Amino acid sequence: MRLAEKSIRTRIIVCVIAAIMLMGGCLIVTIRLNQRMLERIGGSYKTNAELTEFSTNLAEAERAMETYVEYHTFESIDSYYHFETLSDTSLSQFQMKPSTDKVMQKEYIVRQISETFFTYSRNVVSARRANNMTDVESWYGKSLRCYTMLQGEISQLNVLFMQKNAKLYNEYRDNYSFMMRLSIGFIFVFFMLILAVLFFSITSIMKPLADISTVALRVANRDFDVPLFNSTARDEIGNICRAFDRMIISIREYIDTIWEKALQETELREKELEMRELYADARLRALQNQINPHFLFNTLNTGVQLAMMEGADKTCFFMEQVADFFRYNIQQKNQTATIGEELSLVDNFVYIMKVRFGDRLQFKKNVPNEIAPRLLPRMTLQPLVENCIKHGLNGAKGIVVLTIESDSFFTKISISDNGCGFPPDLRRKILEAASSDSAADDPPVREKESEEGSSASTGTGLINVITRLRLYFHRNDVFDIVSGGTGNGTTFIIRIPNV
Amino acid sequence: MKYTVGHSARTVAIGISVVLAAVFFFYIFYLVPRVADTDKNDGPAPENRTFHVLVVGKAENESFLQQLYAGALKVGKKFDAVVELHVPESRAENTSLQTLLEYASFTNPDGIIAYIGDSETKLDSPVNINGRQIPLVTVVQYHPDIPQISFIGTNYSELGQKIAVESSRYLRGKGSLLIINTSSSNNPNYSTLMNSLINSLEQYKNIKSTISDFGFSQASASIEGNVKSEIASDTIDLIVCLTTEDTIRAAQSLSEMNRAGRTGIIGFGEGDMVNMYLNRGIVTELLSIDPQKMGETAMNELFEYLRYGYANSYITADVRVKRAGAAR
Repeated sequence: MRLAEKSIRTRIIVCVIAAIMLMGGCLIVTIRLNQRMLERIGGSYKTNAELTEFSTNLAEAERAMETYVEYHTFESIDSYYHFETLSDTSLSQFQMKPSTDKVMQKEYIVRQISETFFTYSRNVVSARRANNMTDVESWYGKSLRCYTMLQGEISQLNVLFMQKNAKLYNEYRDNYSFMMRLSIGFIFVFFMLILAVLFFSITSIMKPLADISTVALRVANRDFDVPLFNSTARDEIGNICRAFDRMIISIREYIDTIWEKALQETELREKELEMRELYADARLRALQNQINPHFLFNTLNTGVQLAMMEGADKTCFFMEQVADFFRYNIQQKNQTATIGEELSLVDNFVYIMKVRFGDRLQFKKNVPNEIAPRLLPRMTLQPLVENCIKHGLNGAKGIVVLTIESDSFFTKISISDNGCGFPPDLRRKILEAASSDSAADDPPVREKESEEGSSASTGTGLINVITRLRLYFHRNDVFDIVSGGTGNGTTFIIRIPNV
Repeated sequence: MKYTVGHSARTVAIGISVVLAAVFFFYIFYLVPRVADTDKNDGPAPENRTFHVLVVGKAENESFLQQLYAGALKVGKKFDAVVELHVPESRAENTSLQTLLEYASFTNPDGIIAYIGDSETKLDSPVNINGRQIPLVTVVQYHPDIPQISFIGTNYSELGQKIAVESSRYLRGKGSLLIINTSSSNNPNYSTLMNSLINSLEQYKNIKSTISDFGFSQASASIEGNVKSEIASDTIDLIVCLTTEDTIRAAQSLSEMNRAGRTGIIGFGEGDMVNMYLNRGIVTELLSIDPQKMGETAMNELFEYLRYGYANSYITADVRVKRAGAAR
C-alpha cells in the first residue's frame, strides 16, 4: 500500500521520523567530521614525534655500541639489540623505494643510511665479540661517520616533516574552521528545508480537512449548492469526504421532496379555496332558489284568500292544491317520506295536471286500504308520475296507473303509462348512468324529449330518483323499468324491502 | 470540487524533498570529502621509482652541478630513476669529495655521478652496504685511483683551438689580447689548453697576445688589481679568460673602469653570474661545456652499464659558444 493511502497518523509519524533521521544523519556526519578533523589537527606533528623517537632509539643503540666496544658488557649488547629492534620497527614504516617526493626521498635516504649504520654497527659488535680489534677499529670508524651523517639526515628530515606538518596543521586548522562554518550553514539549510518539507507535507495531509471545514460551514449556513468532493482517497479524510457527499446528496433529495410536497399543498389549498368559493356561490344560488318557491307559495296563498273572498271555489281549491304541492317541495326537514305522504303529493300533482289536461289524462290508483308505513326518499313517486304523464299522453288519451302491492318480502309500487314505450338502449343507459353516477352531466333522454327539446332535466330527474333509491336501500334491484314495446307504454317498478 | 489530498502542497513537499536529498548527498559525498581530504598535493603526484642515482660534488662547483643534475634529472623518468643532488650547502662546510662519496656509499644508490675537481688526490671507491662497487661516472676530471665506468670530460686541445678561432674572429685578425691564467701549473688539462691556445694564436700574425699568470694560490683582490692594471694600459682589445672565476673578475674590472664595449672578453665557464655579464654585453663571448648534456650523457652511460654491464669509458663533452648579441 502506498504511503498516500496510509492513515493520517501513520503519514505524519513517517514524516516526523524521516525529518528526525535526516537531521540526525546530518548531525552525526558533522560530529564525525569534526572528530576526524580534530584528530588530524592533533596528529599533525605525529611524524615529527615518531622521527624523534626513532632518533632517540638510534642514539641509544649507538651509545650501547660504543659502550660495548669500550667495556664489552652484556647490558650494553642487550641494550644495543633492544634499541636496534625498536629502530628496525620504526624503520619498517619508512619509505622503501626512491621517490620523486622530497620528503619521501629523504625518508628513503634515512632508511638506507640507517640500514648501513646497523650493518656497520653489527659488524663492530661482531668484531668486538670476537675481539678482532682491527676490524672493530675499521667498522667502528665507518659506523660513527655513518651515524653522524644519519643524524644530519634525520635532522633534515625532521625539518622537512616540520615544514610539511606546519603546512598541514595550518591547512587542517583552516579546513576545520571552514568545515565548521560550512556545517553550521548546511545544518541551517537542512533545518529550514526539513521544516519546509514538514510544513508542506502536513499541509498536504491536512488541506482536505480545511476544504471539508469550508464546505461544512457553507452547509451550516444553509448553502447546499456546494461541490461534491468525489474523493478516491482511502484514508480517514477520504471516508469523511464520501460520507459528506452522501449527506449532501440526501439533503438535496429531502429538500426536493419537501419542495414538491409544498407545491402540491399549495395546489390543494388553491383548489380548496376555489371549491369554497364555488360552494358559497352554490349556497347563495340555493338560497336564491329557495326564495322563489317561498315567494310563489306566499303569492299562491294570497291568491287563495282572494279567490275565497270573491267566492271562486274552484280557483280557490286549485290554488290550494298548487300551494300544497309547492309546500311539500319546499319542506326539506327530512330527506325521507312515507308512502302515504308521497301518494298525497301524487294526488296534488295529478289534480293540477287534470286541470291542465282535462279528460285527456286518466289517472288510476290501485292502492290497498292499509299501506305499510314504509319510508322512501322524498320526491320519489311524483317525478315518476310526471314522467308517465309526459310520455303517456300519446296524442290521444293518456292513462297512468299507480299500483301498490305488498307481500311478505317487498312492497311493490308500479307506475305505468300507455305511451310510446321505453327504448331498450335508453333504459340500459339510464340504469348504467344511475350506477356510475356520472350521467348527470350528460343524461340520456327519451326520443320524444329530444325531439321536443324539453330539456334533459327529465332524464336527470329519473336518474336522480333511481340513484337516491339505490343509495337509500343499498340495493340495485330496488328500481326497474319495464317497457311494453313501441306504443305499449312503460312501467316503473319500485321494490321496497319489508325489513 | 475534486478532493485530491492537497495535491499542490504535496507536489511542493516532494520538490523540496528532492532538493533536500540533493543538498544532503552533495554535502555528504562531494563537499565533505573535498574539504576533509587535506592530504591533497598541489604539485604532480609523487611516484616511487626503482633506481636511485646520486650526483655529488663540492660546493664550489655547485653551479655546474646544478646544471649537471638538471640534465640527469631530465632523463631520470626514462630510466625509472630518482636523481638526487648532494652538494654541501656552502664552502664553509669544507666537505671533501671523499666524504661526499662516503655519504653516497652509505645511501646505497644504484649509481653515482661525481664531479671530480683538479685538486682531488686520494679517493676511495664507493661501495654499497653489501661491499659491492657502486657504478661511478665522473665528469670534468678523470681520477685514476677509483674505478669509473665512464668519464665525461673536455678536449682541452680542441678547446684551445676553438678559443683562438673565436678570438681572431672577434679581433678580425688584428689586435692585442690578454690571456688570464690562474690555474695551477701542475694542472695538465690547463697546460694542454694553454699550449693549444698559444700555438693556434701564432697562426694569426697581426694578433699580439699577452699571458698573465697569476698563480692558483693568489688572492682574488690581487688578481683583480693586476687585471685592472693590464686593462689600464689601454692597449688590450680582448681579454681571454680560461675559468668562470676569471671571466667574472675580468667583467667586473671592465665595468668598474668603464671599459665595457671597448675591450671584449671571451670567457669560459657556466653560471648565472657570467650569463648575466654576457646578457649585459660586458662578456662578448662565452665558451662552455654543456653540463646538462653531460648530465644526460652520464645517465645514459650509467644505465647502459646497469643494463648491459658495459659503457663508454671516455666521452668528450661538447663545447658551446654563446655570443652577447645572440644571448641578448
